[in-house]
Amino acid sequence: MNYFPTVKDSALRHNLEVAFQHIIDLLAISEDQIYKNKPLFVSSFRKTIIIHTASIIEAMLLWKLKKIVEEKNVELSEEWIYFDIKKLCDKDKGVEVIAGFRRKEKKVLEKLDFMRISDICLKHNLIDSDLKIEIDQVRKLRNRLHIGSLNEIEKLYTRSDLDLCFKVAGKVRKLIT
Amino acid sequence: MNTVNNRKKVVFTKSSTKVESLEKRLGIELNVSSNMTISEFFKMKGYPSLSKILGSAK
Repeated sequence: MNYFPTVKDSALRHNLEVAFQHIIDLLAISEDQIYKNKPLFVSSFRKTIIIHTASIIEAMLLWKLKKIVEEKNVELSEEWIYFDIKKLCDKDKGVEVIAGFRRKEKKVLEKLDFMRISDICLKHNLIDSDLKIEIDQVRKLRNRLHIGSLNEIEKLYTRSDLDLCFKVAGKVRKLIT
Repeated sequence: MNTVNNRKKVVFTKSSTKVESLEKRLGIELNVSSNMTISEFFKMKGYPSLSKILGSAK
């Protein structure tokens, strides 16, 4: 079986296939009878599956974006890079007057994070606003891996959390076929 | 059964579409007919979107 046949980059296709197979394996293991009354185990499997699924979605969007940039000569906007920043004086509590340099640099696709990839995809009409909202939901679920930034007790991940991720992965996969 | 050729290409053979192959490879017990496809299994378990992806694989 080949789940990503249209991805011509062989290393990326391999990595996508391996991640997807890992998702299938983890999900099957989470359905094993021995975990029937162990919700924390099942939730932990699901959290890992969310991370892998989000990685696949992010990689497919980035690959699509790269293709559009290469084939259609889409120009990505430039951004200011700030450096050699020096503090001049204090202004108010927590506010400083600074001086420094900045230069404009073209965005480097490989350095974009998940949120910026989806923002740029929306800007260039590779995805619509409804899909962007769903991608953001997956991204926020994925970001819960940073437990230090959670303001609440970690939740138990549900089948519907996973199916949302799979639904979005299916939609993004259609975009690249 | 899945095999990796020189770490470059993952090959999924036809048998890997059945629950039985997953159970054997992973050493798990899913309590369904071993002849059931993985796609059908995940649909039954409440993952219709994943089932669709599996069903559309080439």
